[in-house]
Amino acid sequence: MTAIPAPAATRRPMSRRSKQLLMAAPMVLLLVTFLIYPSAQLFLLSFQKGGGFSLENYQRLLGTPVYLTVMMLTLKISVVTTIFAVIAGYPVAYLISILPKAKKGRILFWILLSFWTSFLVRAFAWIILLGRNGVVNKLLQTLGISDAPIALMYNFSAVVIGMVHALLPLAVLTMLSVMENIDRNLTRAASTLGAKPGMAFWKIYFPLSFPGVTSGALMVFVTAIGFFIFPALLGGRRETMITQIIIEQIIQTMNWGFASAVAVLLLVVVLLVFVLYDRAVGLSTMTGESSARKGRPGRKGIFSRIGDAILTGLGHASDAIIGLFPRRRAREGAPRPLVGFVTALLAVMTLPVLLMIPLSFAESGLNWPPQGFTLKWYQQIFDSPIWMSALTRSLVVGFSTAVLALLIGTPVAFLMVRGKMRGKTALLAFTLMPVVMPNMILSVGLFYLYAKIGLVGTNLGLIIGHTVIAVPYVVLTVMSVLRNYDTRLDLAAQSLGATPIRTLRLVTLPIIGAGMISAFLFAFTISFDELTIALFTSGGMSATLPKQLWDEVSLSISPLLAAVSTCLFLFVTALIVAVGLLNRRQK
Amino acid sequence: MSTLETQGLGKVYGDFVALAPTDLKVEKGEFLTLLGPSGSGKTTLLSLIAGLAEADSGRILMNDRNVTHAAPYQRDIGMMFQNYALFPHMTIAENIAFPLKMRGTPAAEIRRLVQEALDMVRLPHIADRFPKELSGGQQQRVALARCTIYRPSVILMDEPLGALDKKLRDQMQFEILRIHKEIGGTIVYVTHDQEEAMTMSDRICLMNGGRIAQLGSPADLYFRPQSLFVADFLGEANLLEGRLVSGADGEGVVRLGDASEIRVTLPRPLGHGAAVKVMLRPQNIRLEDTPGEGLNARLRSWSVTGASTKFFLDAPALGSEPLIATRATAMSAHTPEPGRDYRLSFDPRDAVAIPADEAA
Repeated sequence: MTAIPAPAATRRPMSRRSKQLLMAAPMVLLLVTFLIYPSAQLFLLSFQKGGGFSLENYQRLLGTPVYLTVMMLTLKISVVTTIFAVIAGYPVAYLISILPKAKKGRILFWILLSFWTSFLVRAFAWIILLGRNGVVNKLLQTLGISDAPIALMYNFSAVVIGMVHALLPLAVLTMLSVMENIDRNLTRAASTLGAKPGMAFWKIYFPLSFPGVTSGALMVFVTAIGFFIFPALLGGRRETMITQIIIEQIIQTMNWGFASAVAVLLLVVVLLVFVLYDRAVGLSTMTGESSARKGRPGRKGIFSRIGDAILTGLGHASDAIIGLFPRRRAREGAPRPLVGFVTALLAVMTLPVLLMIPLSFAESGLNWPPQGFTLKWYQQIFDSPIWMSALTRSLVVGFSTAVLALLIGTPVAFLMVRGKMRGKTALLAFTLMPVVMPNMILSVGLFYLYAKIGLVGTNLGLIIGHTVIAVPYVVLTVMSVLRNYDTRLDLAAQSLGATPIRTLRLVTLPIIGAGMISAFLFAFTISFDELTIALFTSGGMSATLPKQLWDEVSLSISPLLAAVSTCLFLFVTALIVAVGLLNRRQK
Repeated sequence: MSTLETQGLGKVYGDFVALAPTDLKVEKGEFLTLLGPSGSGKTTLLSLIAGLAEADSGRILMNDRNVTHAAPYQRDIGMMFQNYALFPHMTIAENIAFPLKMRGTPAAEIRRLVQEALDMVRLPHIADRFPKELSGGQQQRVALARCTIYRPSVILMDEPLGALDKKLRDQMQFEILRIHKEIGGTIVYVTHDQEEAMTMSDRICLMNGGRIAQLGSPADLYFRPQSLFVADFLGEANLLEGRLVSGADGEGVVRLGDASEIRVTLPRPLGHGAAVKVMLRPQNIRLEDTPGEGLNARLRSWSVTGASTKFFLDAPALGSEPLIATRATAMSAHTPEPGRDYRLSFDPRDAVAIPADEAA
């Protein structure tokens, strides 16, 4: 029909299959080389002793009472942390999910701020807070509850407080993703059908939010089990967790075989938890897509009947309690006690870090209340070549990581959202591996690999390691941006004569730009805060800022570190605000 | 005794008057529709009756009991939501049983009533399925069964058919009417679809800008609109500008722009010389082939819209807007040429004079 062939027809187009391969290839290559291969190496190492196959490492691990105690304690700390984080986080997530958009954003900001403030900075804040002359002790003395400073630190409670504080935002965000998808009309419908508020909550809302509770618990637990910062800084001699053994074995004795065996054990526990979770609840609930039970007709099991009876009981009990109070007239806002609780909790979440800031300007050291005003700690940072080189390195590594993660992650996100292919779920699971796998295992594996190919102490090594952990977040962020993008705009552009490349450049990218910058900043922040990988693969003059901070904190606590922590915190705050402004402008 | 009554019921959001103080009485067994464009206050009124929003002024009486500040579960109501609001984690049987359980009905009784309800909505075999496994129409029926099973004295429906396609919607309209007859409850129904409202309602409460524009039977609203808004909202209407020359006993004469005079109906008395608009429905205008005395018009264009053919006409009496007249579409009708002249005739009972200065 047309006399002139369209230009595209002259070139043979790449087949869809090879295009898809090309889009996923960089990420697959990255994860296979720098995540799976090193982990497999560790696995093999754990079965070696003196060059041959041996079970000696495992015999030592399982046969030494000290290690068994550490394992039990690790589980205990993780379980207790999970329970507290989920219970405290539930009301927060619930409140955010029922608030109107404008107020929602305000609370979410504080949650995100805590979420992105590095664990190290928050642990350091607790050290200052719980110290002999810290805020808490001073407060207890002022209130007359105690006459002399109490030892609040270096015990089990301190570790759990720190860890709950650290992981609460993760619990809230995970539960929120499920709660946001619960139709608010359902509890209203229950109300018109005769259910009192307590009954409507326990019989309708709670069962629907339960997948959020379980996935929140899962995320908190697998993160908690790989922690070492909090037990190391806030715990006593007895509060040792499993990852600390790995660090000790590598850094002090270079016992690769034994360290690998511990890492394998950790991984087995994590995988076991995932398998159990999948059996009990189903991993599909993690995505927050299906909040309903899988339809299976027929009679209900004994467990769901018991559950139903318990929920009914809770409903009656709640309504009895609510009935004791006079009913408020304004039914439309959020319940006041809930708002009060969440406000208090947010204050507790944010205050420790905020209280650290005035101390960094004080002449009186880290004692509360701060006295005098000085900039000398900040001056010392800027005069110190070690701190300045660490800062430069963190910025360079963070920037490079963000660029690389975006380049590698974006095509995968496009493939996941737009591509027509089988095995998307598998690809997503593969993408999320760095999130699931404890960072400690990745770090030890990378250290072993880098030692052989000479990447230890180099920026490149750090950038690659950080990219591995940042890529999943980039993929998820870009995916959510693409899901909200109307693909008909692309078709419109192409029908108006734009080639696919020009469509991307002139239509798609300008619209999803803010989302892409968010992804970039997330990746940057992940790298900028990262400690575990830097712990092994950088050191001395090649340290990053968190690594330098960690080294100094382990040696002594000084106001200089409060100044460094303040800088880190303010920097992350600026990034979060930037992302927030970007997203607002986008809307 | 009316089942439901509102007295001066009002709701304000900041500066926005969502519902001006409103009086409304709904009789027992009545099917009343709240009709209006979006933002007219119909959904606000429904939410206030349901107890899902708190009134700022006035009272709500149900069976003469003051329920203005009662919680939804303390009112004797059932509600059907636009997106059905079936509980996704419960089976169909559990969904329908929910209101009975909340009322402490014995288990055996619940089983019997649920089966009865499922039979009533003609879905006897789906008790153990989950809402996700049903089609939109089936979910609709289940929602209907759930909000009627406990025989509440008022059933509220918030655009329940909005999400269904045309054919299914017609079926469900019939179904809702059948069940309304079967259980004899009182229904307050919200929709923005005038055809649906005309088909289903005993009375229509047409709302605009947070107040009731007109309340009456569908025929009342269609044939005797009291304002331009009502005339314009229900069906298509030609509005001819003029002044009342004389009028008494519901009849009168209006002088149009070109000084021609026509006989009209006056739904309510108006003063002489009052500016009016005369409403003429397109299907009530006859096109006489031979021009002569009275209103004449020239054909601009025409189009077949289905069962009827629309004629667009220019008339000196009417200003720049074209006049629309319809004829039943038929093969036998010859194709008219644009530009030819017609004489317009109509029954004076179909020409309704409405005050022109009233805010629309």
